[in-house]
Amino acid sequence: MSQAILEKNIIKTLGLNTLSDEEQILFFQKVGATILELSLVKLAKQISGEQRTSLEYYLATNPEPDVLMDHLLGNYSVFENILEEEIIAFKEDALAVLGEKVG
Amino acid sequence: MYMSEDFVKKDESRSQEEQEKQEIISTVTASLREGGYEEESITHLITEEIQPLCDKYSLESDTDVAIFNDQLKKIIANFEASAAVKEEEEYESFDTATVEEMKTKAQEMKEAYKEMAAEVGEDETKGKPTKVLRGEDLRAYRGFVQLLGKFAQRTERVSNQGSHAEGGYNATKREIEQVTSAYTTIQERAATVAGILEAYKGKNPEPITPEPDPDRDMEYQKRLVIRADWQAKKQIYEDVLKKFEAAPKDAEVLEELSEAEAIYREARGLYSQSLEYAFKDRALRKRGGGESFEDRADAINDGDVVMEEKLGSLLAERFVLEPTNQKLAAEKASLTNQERGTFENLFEKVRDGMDRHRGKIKIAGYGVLIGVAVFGGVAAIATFLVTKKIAALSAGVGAVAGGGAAGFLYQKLVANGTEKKLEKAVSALENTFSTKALDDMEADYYTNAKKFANADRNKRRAVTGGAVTGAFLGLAFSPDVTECAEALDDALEQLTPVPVPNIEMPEPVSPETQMDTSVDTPAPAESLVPEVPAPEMVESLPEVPAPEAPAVMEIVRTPAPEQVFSIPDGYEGTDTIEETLHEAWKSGRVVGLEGMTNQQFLDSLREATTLFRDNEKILELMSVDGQRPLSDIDLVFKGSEYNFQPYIDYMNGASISEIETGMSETSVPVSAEALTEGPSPVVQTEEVIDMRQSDEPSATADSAPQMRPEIHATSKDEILAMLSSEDRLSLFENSSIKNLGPLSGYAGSNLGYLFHAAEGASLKGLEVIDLRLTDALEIKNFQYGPNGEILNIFDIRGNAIILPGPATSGV
Repeated sequence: MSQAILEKNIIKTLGLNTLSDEEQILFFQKVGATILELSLVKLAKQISGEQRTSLEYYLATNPEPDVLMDHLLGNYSVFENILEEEIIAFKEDALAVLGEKVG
Repeated sequence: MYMSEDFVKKDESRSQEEQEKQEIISTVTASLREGGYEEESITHLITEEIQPLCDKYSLESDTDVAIFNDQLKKIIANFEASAAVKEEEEYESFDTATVEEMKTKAQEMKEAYKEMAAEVGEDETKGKPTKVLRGEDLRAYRGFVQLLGKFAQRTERVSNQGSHAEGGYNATKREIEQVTSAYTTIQERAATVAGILEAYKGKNPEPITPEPDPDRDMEYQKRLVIRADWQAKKQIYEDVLKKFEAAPKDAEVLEELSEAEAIYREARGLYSQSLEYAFKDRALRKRGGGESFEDRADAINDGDVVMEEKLGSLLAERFVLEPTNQKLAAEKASLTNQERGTFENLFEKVRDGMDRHRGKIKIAGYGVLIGVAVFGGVAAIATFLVTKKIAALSAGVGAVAGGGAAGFLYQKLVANGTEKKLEKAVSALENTFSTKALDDMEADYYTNAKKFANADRNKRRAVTGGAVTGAFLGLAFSPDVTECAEALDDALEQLTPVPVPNIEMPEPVSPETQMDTSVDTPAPAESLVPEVPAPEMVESLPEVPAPEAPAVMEIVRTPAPEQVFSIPDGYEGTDTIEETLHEAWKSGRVVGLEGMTNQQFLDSLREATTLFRDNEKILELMSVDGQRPLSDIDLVFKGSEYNFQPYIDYMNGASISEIETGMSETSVPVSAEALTEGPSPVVQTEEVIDMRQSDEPSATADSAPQMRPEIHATSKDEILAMLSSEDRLSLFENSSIKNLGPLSGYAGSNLGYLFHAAEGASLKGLEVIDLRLTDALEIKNFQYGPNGEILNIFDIRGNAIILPGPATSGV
């Protein structure tokens, strides 16, 4: 079920397909940024003190963002789970609210 | 799924801690109440001081607890020293004969209006003013009836409070004032209501049709009447609903409720239809349909489909994204200090990556990537993110490999070489894309929440969303669907195509290019003549303080411009700029237009709106600092403040050019000398920018005394190079950066943060800081003392942040 919803394209369901490219990107950015931020908050809460210290050292090296994302996904397996959970939660909510009514 | 045992324990521990904190708050509240302090003061103390204290300290260690207790004691001690103790009410003597006379006269007035009300209307509506009267008339009638009722209650209460030693009734000074004032008001209103009832004696009002009137002014007036009628009847219904809730078994009240609801529904249906017609009319006008409404209505078919789906995205934003944002806020609030530090560090690093590419595509970054993954559907998030690097987003070509819907979507949207177009469009959208209409929907949702009391939250939201969609299309007006129809009023505005400024996307900012694009004849950087646009700022600028050492941290702010009115929160209208000014004028709050008749005012107002529409200079002049910039006269936001002075000037006879130039040429008595003295006067962002733009330098840095500190043109990198990381942190932690507006959530983090923010970064949510501020910060924002110490840093709003004492910066 979770995997199915992850793979589900909900653009049409939410009526986003008729938005202009610019509007779509803006909307994606809003949603994506919120989910990313939420995931980072949760990551900060869920890692252990030792992991946190390690991460702080790593961040002090000013890693490039791409490298940082690789690092987070590669070293904190929980981060991928968090991201997936947040995306699933968002999609479930979106479909529950609008899925049957719009599109 | 990923919650380990440790995390569960931690959550439990946090929950326990929260409970302890709530108990502390309850104990403090109870204690202060016992002490007789005013409830308002107690509430303020809890929300503004004690709750933040609880949020700040985790109470995980003994040290934290000790600090917490110490801080709490200090807060309470300060409160007790300064807060007002509730005053004991003291009775005065309220003359018995006067009270009795008032009661008698009020009773006579009541009987008189009832007698007149019985004659109102004809046939089925005879004797039913609430069915016959409408709009303002109905509101006046209802107001009078309610006032009479309250007056009777108050006088009765006074009569029951016993005799005063001086002979009259016991009554507080406030009660005496209230009763006396109400008595005067009742007498004034009685005459008005008598006139209204007399006008409808034996007849019904002319019916109003919801179809738009070909005459635009008439159409406007007609919709005002329909809306006012709906609002009045809604209020009546809500009042009766309260009565019913208080006495649910009272058959008479139930009957009254049923009747009020039926009347309300009828008014709401009429209003819904008028909105539907207005929407179609507007949409078709924009589409260039036939001349008559019927002709245009024939051509609406395809448009409905598009609008329906657009509404879907608004609903998604409102009912899905917004709750997600609330969840984010809650998650952030629950972080411990250590966790917060880690998060901010992480967030800063990720965000920096986005900023780095903003010159090519401002919104590039993992936010877009994740958004694409969310909507396009991606099976493996990590793989997708790792494959689609941020750097690729700005590559300008669709060279990123990727399969499936998301890959295609990604290429279509991001990597198709449309960065410049996107940049412009996004800038416009960020200022105008709003879900204001949905605020109203939600309000209605809560109003009617009782109906869905047994449904789960999602289901209720879905019902509301579906109802709105149906209402929007005007396909049906069943009670449930029309429930939200009023929200369409704003949807008409919200769904208007967003104007995209026809300008080239700014390249990475340099001071020179900033000036070139903003003014014709940029002044040299040394021309520090603050030319400030709004005249109200002239009068309100504070005196320049003495040039002594800036020992106290302080942010001096310019008071708001005069003639500022805010769009009411409860507003349901469309042309809210006009209506707000009209309401303000009617209530006597507008200075300078007192002599006009209502018709003159409306004519002049409409003329001004026509001329101001699309006038960027006027829109800028009307924008109030700290508020969402005014970008469209017809698209305004609830709760936002706007400076109506341009309207008032125009309606007073000033020409457009006089308004534009008159406001921008007014000089402000802040010279370069003033800027270079000790604690600085307020310099708003616009001032700083205008300093650069002025072509009439009346004072320059050269005129300042030699020993006084000077403002150097210093780049960000130079400044950063001068400060050690510790100094940066110290500098900002010791400064009073409390009024940075959009930056407030990040204030004090470090100097780099401020610089990034000034570069147009999107820091908090989607608030975007004007790129022009980069210029302001890098060139003008550092004020040095004679020995090179930093005296002032001007924040992004142009306010001077006064640092504590001379340089700890090591400069």
